[in-house]
Amino acid sequence: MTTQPVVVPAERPSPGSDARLIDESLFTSEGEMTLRGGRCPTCATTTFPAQRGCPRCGAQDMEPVALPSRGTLWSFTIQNFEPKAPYRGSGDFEPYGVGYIDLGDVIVESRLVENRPQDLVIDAAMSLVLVPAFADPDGTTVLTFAFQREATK
Amino acid sequence: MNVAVVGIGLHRFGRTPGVSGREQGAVAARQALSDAGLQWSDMQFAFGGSYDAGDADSLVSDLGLTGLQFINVKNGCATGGSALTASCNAITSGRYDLGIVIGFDKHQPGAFNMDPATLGIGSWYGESGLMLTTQFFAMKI
Repeated sequence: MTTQPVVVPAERPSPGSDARLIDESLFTSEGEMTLRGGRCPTCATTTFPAQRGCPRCGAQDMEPVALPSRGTLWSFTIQNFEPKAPYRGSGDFEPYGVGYIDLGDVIVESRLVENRPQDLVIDAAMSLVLVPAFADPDGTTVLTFAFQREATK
Repeated sequence: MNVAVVGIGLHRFGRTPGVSGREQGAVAARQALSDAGLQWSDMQFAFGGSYDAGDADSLVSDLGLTGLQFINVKNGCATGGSALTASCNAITSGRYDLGIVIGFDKHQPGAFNMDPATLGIGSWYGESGLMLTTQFFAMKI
């Protein structure tokens, strides 16, 4: 498990706080904050991030859709060394998990809170959180989306 | 119409300090011409490419300014296959009889570090650590 602070559940940084989202367009802007995808009104194909053209049928009018905040782990790996730029670290490198989360209509690539293979298993229930990715030069914490394994009952 | 490979050349694969990828491409091209018993001036067209080691068409400076049509191909790991496909199409079209396909490269050690903008993805993707060789070659396949 990462030692970095995790925002659970994912919520928008409050105005005036010392944190911001890495890219506003990745997230819904109203209601419960979840990932913002795109859905094709013609063939129902769903993408993340949202995009204008449909990758399946070529329609050009995909509509924003709030994606579910819970899904299952489809595949994963652990990044054990610091990537080169354009990666922006937050100081001392700590290994991090990367995986694909099956959200039903779309499979989303994401950071994972867990960073040890023994803590992850395919098909595990996962939920959306925010993790610090790096800091702006002025010290603002930049948050990105991640998925965290749900506690087993 | 059948299209045939009539000569091949290869610079020995390796780190090869002091020899640029582009220079290795010229070595391979000369070997292929020799293997086929042909001259550079016999080549009617060329397709070639490199990701990190220069523009393939600049090899005309080393091999000869014969005025041949040299088209650069830039298709990542598929550059060689794409150049070969384009050459086959050029010959089967009836426009040409004889040409050359040249691919070469030389990368810095370690993982690739592409800019996600080249794939139409936002900068957040690389900055947050998702632009990874591991996921390209393992999880996505």
